Amino acid sequence: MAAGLLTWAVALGAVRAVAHPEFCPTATAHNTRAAATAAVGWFTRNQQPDGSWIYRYDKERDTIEAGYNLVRHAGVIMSLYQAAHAGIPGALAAADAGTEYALRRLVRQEDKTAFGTGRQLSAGASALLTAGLAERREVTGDPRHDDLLASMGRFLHGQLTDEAAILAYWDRETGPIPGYFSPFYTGETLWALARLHSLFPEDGWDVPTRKVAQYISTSRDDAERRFPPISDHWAAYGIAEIAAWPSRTHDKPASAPASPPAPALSHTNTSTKRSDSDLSPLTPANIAYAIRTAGIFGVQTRFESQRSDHGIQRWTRGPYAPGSGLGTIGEGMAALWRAGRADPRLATQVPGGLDRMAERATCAAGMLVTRQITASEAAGLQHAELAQGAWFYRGDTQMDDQQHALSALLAVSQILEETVREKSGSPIFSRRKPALSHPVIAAPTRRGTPE
Amino acid sequence: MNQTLALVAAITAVNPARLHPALPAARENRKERLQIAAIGALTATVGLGGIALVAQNVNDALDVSAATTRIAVGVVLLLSAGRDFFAAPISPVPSLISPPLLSPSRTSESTTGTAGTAGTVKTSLATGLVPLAFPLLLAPGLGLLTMSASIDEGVFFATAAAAFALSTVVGSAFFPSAEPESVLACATTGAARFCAALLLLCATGLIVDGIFDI
Repeated sequence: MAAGLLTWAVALGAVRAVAHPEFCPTATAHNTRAAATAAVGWFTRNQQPDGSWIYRYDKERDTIEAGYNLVRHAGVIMSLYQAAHAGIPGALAAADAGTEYALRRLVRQEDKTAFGTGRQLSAGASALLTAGLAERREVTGDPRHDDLLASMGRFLHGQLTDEAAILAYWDRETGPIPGYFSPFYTGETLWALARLHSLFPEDGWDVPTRKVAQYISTSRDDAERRFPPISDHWAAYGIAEIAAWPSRTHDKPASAPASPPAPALSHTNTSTKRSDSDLSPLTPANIAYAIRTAGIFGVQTRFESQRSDHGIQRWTRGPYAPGSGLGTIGEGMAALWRAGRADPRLATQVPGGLDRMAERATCAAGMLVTRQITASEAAGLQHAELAQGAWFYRGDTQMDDQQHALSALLAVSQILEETVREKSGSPIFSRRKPALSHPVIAAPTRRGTPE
Repeated sequence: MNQTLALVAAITAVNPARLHPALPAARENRKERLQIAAIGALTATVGLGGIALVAQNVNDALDVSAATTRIAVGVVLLLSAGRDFFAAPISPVPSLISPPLLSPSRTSESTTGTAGTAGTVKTSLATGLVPLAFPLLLAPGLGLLTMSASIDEGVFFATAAAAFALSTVVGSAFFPSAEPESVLACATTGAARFCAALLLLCATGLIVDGIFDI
């Protein structure tokens, strides 16, 4: 009897060590938008005259650290155009200034254009700049960059291998450098090409897009990195974009009228809803990949929500993730939610359905809201303008922390708005616990944060 | 949680082959063996039904998602499977060995009088409760699995799966225990290890399922 009780005690202890409480602070359309607005404020305050941004700030030492990353520069431009699309003041001007910075660093060769400096340029910077300028095209209707978009698309297309993998780098003298791949450039390129097809449906961008999507869905993990599977929010963006394309024409009778063009933007994708018989261009392999990826974002959200700055979790779960890491989880899950809205196969096959995906994305956004440095928290610092609206990780913040967090907040804000609109009630995804106010906790290194 | 996985996990968590040597199988009276096994299984089912009933509320109170619970239960089942596989078979529990020890005045279970039958039933009841129902059947692995299954698949399924798994113990009570060192004893041990290996697979499946759930 005593041995039985002891066994139970040990087992419950093991359960408690594995299953920590999950804190999902309440996220609403209002507080996520407010946090997104504060993040845009960080970019507008900390933009240099040449259009670049403060790259990294260490608030413990009160120093602005040297270094810059053009892939992340392009990512920030893209996020700010998303914010402009959501109507956040100041975002468009800041993004345009960032674009001017990028336009001064273009490399043209024949009919291709790449963004970067030095002898070797990454595919990722051009892919994200393409995605950003495509967003700008949608927001403003301004065609001034259309030729550039097509030219960068051709550059990205040139990076495809026969297997539809994306070569990560391009050399000015020798062209694409074989044998080097990036965990994120492939997804970024997928998204960029998918957006080009949404913008210019007659130009044939769907062909390479489908090839890359199929490669990512079926071969990428085996070919490039088997374990752990890549948590690829960029691929999720790409999947969502493809899902919003017009329906597969070969599934329709030949006499059927052409489908109306789908909204091209990631933001407008959420309004794309199809019936069960109206399939998106996603293949079954794409759907299966989306479900697997949603699972990765799901466990990451749950793990992150178990982190705490006190109690046993401090030791078993480690410190809070950087804003960039947490932001990508929210971005990825929200993108897959949009894909699920556009393709009923995904919505019905994913465990827990769209509601579960929305709940996890909202959880990530709630954590972002509570971990953002508010004006009052920044007031006591010497350089409040560098802290307010930012997310810190072990005392420092990097511009991609704000970038990914901003994109996630915007995406979740839209989920919440649409959900409220549809269900005519208060947000259903706020979890049980009231909002917490966690101080920002540092972690040992900033390694492997996504670009 | 896949229902088939949950059911197989429940049966292997009970592991009737491992439990068999400890059961009333030592008794020569099949009827009494069955009585004790039935009482134990029924009591455990009621207990597990109670766990299934409160599972969702407990999980909510602890702020743990169903998927995370599944991972935690998988870990506990892994430990159980390891114990079942490597540990020696359960020794016959003293109170389950003939003659019953709870009633010193009774020396044989062959008593046929009214008082004797009442005594046997009373003894069977006590033995069926402790140690059979608890701690042998109401063990953490099965208890927590029932909790997780209830959250994922509902109270009815979880209770029914647990009841079905426990019924295998009653089924095993039809057979007397094998003589030590006999071929049958070896087969029983082998079957217990097979169950443990299967439980290990189920536990891994639960963990993977929990990790890749959303």
